[in-house]
Amino acid sequence: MTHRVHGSWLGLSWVLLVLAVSGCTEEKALALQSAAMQYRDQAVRALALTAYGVRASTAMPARTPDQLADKLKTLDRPIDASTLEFLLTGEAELARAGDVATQPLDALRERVIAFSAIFDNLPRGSYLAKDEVKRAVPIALRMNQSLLNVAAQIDAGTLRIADNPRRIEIIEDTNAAISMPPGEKRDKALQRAALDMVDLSARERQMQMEANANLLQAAEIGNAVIGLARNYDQVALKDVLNALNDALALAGRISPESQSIKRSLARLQGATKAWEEDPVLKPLLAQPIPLNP
Amino acid sequence: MDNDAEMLKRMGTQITDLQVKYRALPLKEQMAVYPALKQLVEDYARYQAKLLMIGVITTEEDLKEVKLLKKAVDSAANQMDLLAAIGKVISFIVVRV
Repeated sequence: MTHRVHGSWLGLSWVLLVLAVSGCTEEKALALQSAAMQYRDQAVRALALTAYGVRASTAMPARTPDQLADKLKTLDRPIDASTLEFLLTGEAELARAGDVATQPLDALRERVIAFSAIFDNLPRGSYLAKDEVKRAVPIALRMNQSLLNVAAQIDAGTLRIADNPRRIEIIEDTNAAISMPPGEKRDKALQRAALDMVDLSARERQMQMEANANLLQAAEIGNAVIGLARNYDQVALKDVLNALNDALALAGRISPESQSIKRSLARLQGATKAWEEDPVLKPLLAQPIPLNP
Repeated sequence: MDNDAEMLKRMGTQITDLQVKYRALPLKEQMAVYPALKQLVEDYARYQAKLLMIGVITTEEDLKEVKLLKKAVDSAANQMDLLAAIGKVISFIVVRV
Protein backbone atom coordinates (compact mmCIF):
# COMPACT_ATOMS: atom_id res chain seq x y z
CA MET A 1 0.00 0.00 0.00
CA THR A 2 2.78 2.41 0.95
CA HIS A 3 4.44 1.72 -2.40
CA ARG A 4 1.22 2.55 -4.24
CA VAL A 5 0.95 5.84 -2.36
CA HIS A 6 4.54 6.70 -3.20
CA GLY A 7 3.93 5.79 -6.83
CA SER A 8 1.04 8.22 -7.19
CA TRP A 9 3.02 10.96 -5.46
CA LEU A 10 5.78 10.57 -8.00
CA GLY A 11 3.26 11.61 -10.63
CA LEU A 12 2.20 14.63 -8.61
CA SER A 13 5.84 15.60 -8.01
CA TRP A 14 6.36 15.68 -11.78
CA VAL A 15 3.36 18.00 -12.16
CA LEU A 16 4.76 20.24 -9.43
CA LEU A 17 8.15 20.38 -11.17
CA VAL A 18 6.53 21.48 -14.43
CA LEU A 19 4.55 24.13 -12.58
CA ALA A 20 7.63 25.40 -10.79
CA VAL A 21 9.39 26.27 -14.01
CA SER A 22 6.38 28.06 -15.51
CA GLY A 23 4.65 29.85 -12.66
CA CYS A 24 1.75 32.33 -12.71
CA THR A 25 -1.71 32.59 -11.18
CA GLU A 26 -3.17 29.89 -13.40
CA GLU A 27 -0.35 27.55 -12.41
CA LYS A 28 -1.00 28.33 -8.76
CA ALA A 29 -4.62 27.32 -9.31
CA LEU A 30 -3.46 24.15 -11.03
CA ALA A 31 -1.21 23.33 -8.09
CA LEU A 32 -4.11 23.69 -5.65
CA GLN A 33 -6.31 21.61 -7.94
CA SER A 34 -3.65 18.88 -8.04
CA ALA A 35 -3.40 18.94 -4.25
CA ALA A 36 -7.19 18.62 -3.92
CA MET A 37 -7.22 15.67 -6.31
CA GLN A 38 -4.38 14.02 -4.44
CA TYR A 39 -6.30 14.56 -1.21
CA ARG A 40 -9.42 12.99 -2.74
CA ASP A 41 -7.58 9.95 -4.10
CA GLN A 42 -5.76 9.25 -0.87
CA ALA A 43 -8.88 9.77 1.29
CA VAL A 44 -10.99 7.51 -0.95
CA ARG A 45 -8.31 4.82 -0.77
CA ALA A 46 -8.05 5.13 3.02
CA LEU A 47 -11.83 5.04 3.56
CA ALA A 48 -12.18 1.99 1.28
CA LEU A 49 -9.52 0.14 3.28
CA THR A 50 -11.25 1.09 6.52
CA ALA A 51 -14.71 0.08 5.28
CA TYR A 52 -13.33 -3.28 4.09
CA GLY A 53 -11.96 -3.97 7.57
CA VAL A 54 -15.21 -2.97 9.28
CA ARG A 55 -17.32 -5.18 6.98
CA ALA A 56 -14.89 -8.08 7.53
CA SER A 57 -15.50 -7.84 11.28
CA THR A 58 -18.98 -9.42 10.91
CA ALA A 59 -18.52 -11.45 7.70
CA MET A 60 -18.66 -15.26 7.63
CA PRO A 61 -16.58 -17.70 5.54
CA ALA A 62 -18.04 -18.60 2.15
CA ARG A 63 -19.54 -22.08 2.13
CA THR A 64 -17.47 -24.59 0.14
CA PRO A 65 -19.16 -27.20 -2.12
CA ASP A 66 -18.11 -29.93 0.36
CA GLN A 67 -19.70 -28.03 3.26
CA LEU A 68 -22.85 -27.55 1.18
CA ALA A 69 -22.97 -31.27 0.42
CA ASP A 70 -22.64 -32.01 4.16
CA LYS A 71 -25.60 -29.73 4.87
CA LEU A 72 -27.70 -31.37 2.14
CA LYS A 73 -27.05 -34.74 3.78
CA THR A 74 -28.84 -33.44 6.91
CA LEU A 75 -32.10 -32.89 4.98
CA ASP A 76 -34.84 -35.39 5.80
CA ARG A 77 -37.21 -34.19 3.07
CA PRO A 78 -37.06 -33.28 -0.65
CA ILE A 79 -35.52 -29.85 -1.39
CA ASP A 80 -38.05 -27.10 -2.26
CA ALA A 81 -37.81 -23.63 -3.85
CA SER A 82 -37.42 -21.75 -0.58
CA THR A 83 -34.54 -24.00 0.51
CA LEU A 84 -32.82 -23.46 -2.85
CA GLU A 85 -33.38 -19.70 -2.55
CA PHE A 86 -31.81 -19.79 0.90
CA LEU A 87 -28.81 -21.68 -0.42
CA LEU A 88 -28.42 -19.35 -3.42
CA THR A 89 -28.81 -15.96 -1.72
CA GLY A 90 -28.68 -16.43 2.04
CA GLU A 91 -24.94 -15.96 2.45
CA ALA A 92 -24.78 -12.82 0.30
CA GLU A 93 -27.70 -11.24 2.18
CA LEU A 94 -26.10 -12.07 5.50
CA ALA A 95 -22.88 -10.39 4.34
CA ARG A 96 -24.80 -7.28 3.25
CA ALA A 97 -26.49 -7.07 6.67
CA GLY A 98 -23.30 -5.54 8.06
CA ASP A 99 -23.05 -2.82 5.41
CA VAL A 100 -24.87 -0.23 7.51
CA ALA A 101 -21.80 -0.01 9.76
CA THR A 102 -19.84 1.72 7.03
CA GLN A 103 -22.50 4.29 6.07
CA PRO A 104 -20.72 7.16 7.89
CA LEU A 105 -17.52 6.26 6.02
CA ASP A 106 -19.41 6.11 2.71
CA ALA A 107 -20.91 9.55 3.41
CA LEU A 108 -17.47 10.97 4.21
CA ARG A 109 -16.10 9.54 0.96
CA GLU A 110 -18.87 11.25 -1.00
CA ARG A 111 -18.06 14.56 0.73
CA VAL A 112 -14.37 14.26 -0.12
CA ILE A 113 -15.19 13.59 -3.77
CA ALA A 114 -17.58 16.54 -3.83
CA PHE A 115 -14.95 18.75 -2.18
CA SER A 116 -12.33 17.90 -4.77
CA ALA A 117 -14.80 18.78 -7.54
CA ILE A 118 -14.91 22.37 -6.21
CA PHE A 119 -11.49 22.88 -7.77
CA ASP A 120 -12.22 21.23 -11.14
CA ASN A 121 -12.49 24.54 -12.99
CA LEU A 122 -10.31 26.67 -10.75
CA PRO A 123 -7.43 27.15 -13.21
CA ARG A 124 -9.84 28.79 -15.72
CA GLY A 125 -11.14 31.23 -13.11
CA SER A 126 -7.71 31.53 -11.49
CA TYR A 127 -7.36 34.62 -9.33
CA LEU A 128 -11.03 35.63 -9.60
CA ALA A 129 -12.06 32.55 -7.58
CA LYS A 130 -9.97 33.41 -4.54
CA ASP A 131 -13.03 34.09 -2.36
CA GLU A 132 -14.56 30.72 -3.31
CA VAL A 133 -11.28 29.02 -2.45
CA LYS A 134 -11.34 30.55 1.01
CA ARG A 135 -14.96 29.51 1.53
CA ALA A 136 -13.90 25.90 0.91
CA VAL A 137 -11.61 25.98 3.96
CA PRO A 138 -14.26 25.15 6.62
CA ILE A 139 -15.39 22.15 4.53
CA ALA A 140 -11.82 20.91 4.23
CA LEU A 141 -11.23 21.42 7.92
CA ARG A 142 -14.34 19.43 8.90
CA MET A 143 -13.44 16.63 6.51
CA ASN A 144 -9.92 16.47 7.84
CA GLN A 145 -11.23 16.44 11.41
CA SER A 146 -13.49 13.52 10.40
CA LEU A 147 -10.58 11.58 8.88
CA LEU A 148 -8.58 12.10 12.07
CA ASN A 149 -11.55 10.97 14.19
CA VAL A 150 -11.84 7.77 12.18
CA ALA A 151 -8.10 7.18 12.64
CA ALA A 152 -8.39 7.90 16.37
CA GLN A 153 -11.32 5.46 16.66
CA ILE A 154 -9.39 2.68 14.98
CA ASP A 155 -6.54 3.35 17.39
CA ALA A 156 -8.92 3.36 20.38
CA GLY A 157 -10.83 0.24 19.25
CA THR A 158 -14.22 1.97 18.90
CA LEU A 159 -14.06 1.23 15.19
CA ARG A 160 -13.62 -2.52 15.00
CA ILE A 161 -11.51 -3.99 12.20
CA ALA A 162 -11.21 -7.79 12.29
CA ASP A 163 -10.98 -10.78 9.92
CA ASN A 164 -14.10 -12.55 11.20
CA PRO A 165 -14.29 -15.24 8.48
CA ARG A 166 -10.77 -16.36 9.43
CA ARG A 167 -11.67 -16.24 13.13
CA ILE A 168 -14.61 -18.56 12.49
CA GLU A 169 -12.47 -20.99 10.47
CA ILE A 170 -9.81 -21.08 13.20
CA ILE A 171 -12.40 -21.75 15.93
CA GLU A 172 -13.89 -24.59 13.85
CA ASP A 173 -10.49 -26.09 12.99
CA THR A 174 -9.24 -25.82 16.57
CA ASN A 175 -12.38 -27.40 18.00
CA ALA A 176 -12.12 -30.22 15.45
CA ALA A 177 -8.50 -30.79 16.53
CA ILE A 178 -9.39 -30.71 20.23
CA SER A 179 -12.03 -33.41 19.70
CA MET A 180 -9.52 -35.79 18.05
CA PRO A 181 -8.20 -38.75 20.06
CA PRO A 182 -4.75 -38.09 21.62
CA GLY A 183 -1.89 -38.77 19.22
CA GLU A 184 0.38 -37.32 16.55
CA LYS A 185 -2.47 -36.30 14.24
CA ARG A 186 -4.13 -34.29 17.00
CA ASP A 187 -0.84 -32.67 18.03
CA LYS A 188 -0.12 -31.61 14.45
CA ALA A 189 -3.62 -30.20 14.00
CA LEU A 190 -3.30 -28.19 17.20
CA GLN A 191 0.14 -26.93 16.16
CA ARG A 192 -1.33 -25.77 12.85
CA ALA A 193 -4.15 -24.05 14.71
CA ALA A 194 -1.63 -22.24 16.91
CA LEU A 195 0.27 -21.02 13.83
CA ASP A 196 -3.00 -19.87 12.24
CA MET A 197 -3.79 -17.85 15.38
CA VAL A 198 -0.39 -16.12 15.29
CA ASP A 199 -0.89 -15.35 11.58
CA LEU A 200 -4.38 -14.01 12.20
CA SER A 201 -3.17 -11.73 14.98
CA ALA A 202 -0.52 -10.25 12.65
CA ARG A 203 -3.02 -9.95 9.78
CA GLU A 204 -5.63 -8.09 11.83
CA ARG A 205 -2.97 -5.75 13.23
CA GLN A 206 -1.80 -5.08 9.69
CA MET A 207 -5.36 -4.35 8.50
CA GLN A 208 -5.79 -1.80 11.30
CA MET A 209 -2.39 -0.17 10.76
CA GLU A 210 -2.75 0.06 6.98
CA ALA A 211 -6.16 1.71 7.27
CA ASN A 212 -4.89 4.08 9.93
CA ALA A 213 -1.69 5.06 8.10
CA ASN A 214 -3.65 5.74 4.91
CA LEU A 215 -6.18 7.91 6.77
CA LEU A 216 -3.36 9.93 8.31
CA GLN A 217 -1.59 10.31 4.97
CA ALA A 218 -4.84 11.71 3.55
CA ALA A 219 -5.18 14.05 6.55
CA GLU A 220 -1.60 15.24 6.03
CA ILE A 221 -2.37 16.24 2.45
CA GLY A 222 -5.68 17.72 3.64
CA ASN A 223 -3.80 19.84 6.14
CA ALA A 224 -1.70 21.27 3.32
CA VAL A 225 -4.81 21.92 1.22
CA ILE A 226 -6.33 23.86 4.13
CA GLY A 227 -3.19 26.01 4.45
CA LEU A 228 -3.01 26.63 0.71
CA ALA A 229 -6.68 27.59 0.47
CA ARG A 230 -6.37 29.89 3.49
CA ASN A 231 -3.43 31.77 1.95
CA TYR A 232 -4.41 31.40 -1.68
CA ASP A 233 -4.58 35.12 -2.50
CA GLN A 234 -1.36 35.97 -0.66
CA VAL A 235 1.23 33.34 -1.55
CA ALA A 236 3.41 32.89 -4.61
CA LEU A 237 3.48 29.73 -6.71
CA LYS A 238 6.83 28.83 -5.16
CA ASP A 239 5.25 28.86 -1.66
CA VAL A 240 2.38 26.65 -2.84
CA LEU A 241 4.79 24.12 -4.31
CA ASN A 242 7.02 24.15 -1.23
CA ALA A 243 4.03 23.59 1.06
CA LEU A 244 2.84 20.69 -1.09
CA ASN A 245 6.28 19.11 -1.20
CA ASP A 246 6.55 19.39 2.58
CA ALA A 247 3.14 17.75 3.02
CA LEU A 248 4.02 14.92 0.66
CA ALA A 249 7.31 14.34 2.46
CA LEU A 250 5.55 14.25 5.85
CA ALA A 251 2.82 11.93 4.54
CA GLY A 252 5.47 9.63 3.07
CA ARG A 253 7.01 9.23 6.50
CA ILE A 254 3.75 7.96 8.05
CA SER A 255 4.15 4.18 8.18
CA PRO A 256 1.79 1.42 9.34
CA GLU A 257 3.46 1.10 12.74
CA SER A 258 2.05 1.94 16.13
CA GLN A 259 4.55 4.66 17.10
CA SER A 260 4.45 6.38 13.72
CA ILE A 261 0.65 6.40 13.81
CA LYS A 262 0.42 7.78 17.36
CA ARG A 263 2.96 10.54 16.61
CA SER A 264 1.29 11.54 13.35
CA LEU A 265 -2.19 11.48 14.87
CA ALA A 266 -1.12 13.77 17.72
CA ARG A 267 0.69 16.14 15.36
CA LEU A 268 -2.24 16.39 12.94
CA GLN A 269 -4.78 16.82 15.72
CA GLY A 270 -2.59 19.70 16.97
CA ALA A 271 -2.52 21.22 13.48
CA THR A 272 -6.31 20.99 13.24
CA LYS A 273 -6.69 22.67 16.63
CA ALA A 274 -4.40 25.48 15.46
CA TRP A 275 -6.57 26.04 12.36
CA GLU A 276 -9.65 26.27 14.58
CA GLU A 277 -7.95 29.08 16.53
CA ASP A 278 -6.61 30.82 13.44
CA PRO A 279 -7.84 34.47 13.42
CA VAL A 280 -8.35 34.44 9.64
CA LEU A 281 -10.30 31.17 9.62
CA LYS A 282 -12.33 31.67 12.78
CA PRO A 283 -14.96 33.89 11.12
CA LEU A 284 -15.28 31.31 8.31
CA LEU A 285 -15.89 28.48 10.74
CA ALA A 286 -19.45 29.54 11.49
CA GLN A 287 -20.60 25.99 12.18
CA PRO A 288 -19.12 23.92 15.04
CA ILE A 289 -16.69 21.19 14.05
CA PRO A 290 -18.38 17.80 14.53
CA LEU A 291 -16.49 15.30 16.66
CA ASN A 292 -17.26 12.47 14.27
CA PRO A 293 -17.85 12.03 10.54
CA MET B 1 -9.40 0.49 26.26
CA ASP B 2 -12.52 2.56 26.95
CA ASN B 3 -16.06 1.27 27.55
CA ASP B 4 -17.14 1.64 23.94
CA ALA B 5 -14.16 -0.30 22.65
CA GLU B 6 -14.60 -3.04 25.27
CA MET B 7 -18.31 -3.23 24.51
CA LEU B 8 -17.78 -3.47 20.77
CA LYS B 9 -15.16 -6.20 21.16
CA ARG B 10 -17.35 -8.27 23.49
CA MET B 11 -20.40 -7.98 21.24
CA GLY B 12 -18.25 -8.81 18.22
CA THR B 13 -16.91 -11.99 19.82
CA GLN B 14 -20.45 -12.99 20.85
CA ILE B 15 -21.57 -12.65 17.24
CA THR B 16 -18.62 -14.80 16.13
CA ASP B 17 -19.59 -17.48 18.68
CA LEU B 18 -23.21 -17.43 17.49
CA GLN B 19 -22.08 -17.67 13.85
CA VAL B 20 -19.93 -20.73 14.68
CA LYS B 21 -22.92 -22.40 16.36
CA TYR B 22 -25.16 -21.42 13.40
CA ARG B 23 -22.76 -23.00 10.91
CA ALA B 24 -22.83 -26.26 12.87
CA LEU B 25 -26.64 -26.60 12.68
CA PRO B 26 -28.38 -28.92 10.18
CA LEU B 27 -29.69 -27.07 7.10
CA LYS B 28 -33.31 -27.08 8.21
CA GLU B 29 -32.41 -25.51 11.56
CA GLN B 30 -30.07 -23.02 9.89
CA MET B 31 -33.00 -21.77 7.84
CA ALA B 32 -35.04 -21.32 11.00
CA VAL B 33 -32.29 -19.35 12.78
CA TYR B 34 -31.17 -17.33 9.72
CA PRO B 35 -33.62 -14.35 10.00
CA ALA B 36 -32.65 -13.75 13.64
CA LEU B 37 -28.93 -13.94 12.87
CA LYS B 38 -29.34 -11.50 9.97
CA GLN B 39 -31.22 -9.12 12.25
CA LEU B 40 -28.47 -9.40 14.84
CA VAL B 41 -25.72 -8.50 12.34
CA GLU B 42 -27.80 -5.53 11.11
CA ASP B 43 -28.35 -4.24 14.64
CA TYR B 44 -24.69 -4.65 15.55
CA ALA B 45 -23.71 -2.78 12.37
CA ARG B 46 -26.11 0.03 13.34
CA TYR B 47 -24.48 0.17 16.76
CA GLN B 48 -21.03 0.44 15.15
CA ALA B 49 -22.30 3.20 12.84
CA LYS B 50 -23.77 5.08 15.80
CA LEU B 51 -20.48 4.87 17.69
CA LEU B 52 -18.74 6.20 14.63
CA MET B 53 -21.23 9.06 14.40
CA ILE B 54 -21.57 10.32 17.93
CA GLY B 55 -18.65 9.01 19.95
CA VAL B 56 -18.97 7.69 23.49
CA ILE B 57 -22.37 6.13 24.18
CA THR B 58 -21.55 3.18 26.45
CA THR B 59 -21.76 3.10 30.26
CA GLU B 60 -20.33 0.77 32.91
CA GLU B 61 -23.83 -0.73 33.32
CA ASP B 62 -23.91 -1.59 29.63
CA LEU B 63 -20.66 -3.46 30.01
CA LYS B 64 -21.94 -5.44 32.99
CA GLU B 65 -25.03 -6.40 31.02
CA VAL B 66 -23.01 -7.47 28.02
CA LYS B 67 -20.95 -9.76 30.25
CA LEU B 68 -24.18 -11.45 31.37
CA LEU B 69 -25.24 -11.83 27.76
CA LYS B 70 -21.91 -13.50 27.01
CA LYS B 71 -22.86 -16.26 29.46
CA ALA B 72 -26.18 -16.80 27.69
CA VAL B 73 -24.39 -17.06 24.35
CA ASP B 74 -21.82 -19.50 25.70
CA SER B 75 -24.49 -21.81 27.08
CA ALA B 76 -26.54 -21.90 23.87
CA ALA B 77 -26.40 -25.57 22.95
CA ASN B 78 -29.27 -26.15 20.54
CA GLN B 79 -31.50 -24.35 18.04
CA MET B 80 -33.97 -23.05 20.64
CA ASP B 81 -31.20 -21.89 22.96
CA LEU B 82 -29.42 -20.27 20.04
CA LEU B 83 -32.57 -18.39 18.98
CA ALA B 84 -33.12 -17.27 22.57
CA ALA B 85 -29.51 -16.09 22.86
CA ILE B 86 -29.69 -14.15 19.57
CA GLY B 87 -32.97 -12.62 20.76
CA LYS B 88 -31.33 -11.43 23.98
CA VAL B 89 -28.40 -9.83 22.16
CA ILE B 90 -30.77 -8.14 19.67
CA SER B 91 -32.90 -6.77 22.55
CA PHE B 92 -29.75 -5.41 24.13
CA ILE B 93 -28.56 -3.68 20.96
CA VAL B 94 -31.86 -2.26 19.64
CA VAL B 95 -32.41 0.04 22.63
CA ARG B 96 -28.97 1.55 21.95
CA VAL B 97 -29.27 2.33 18.24
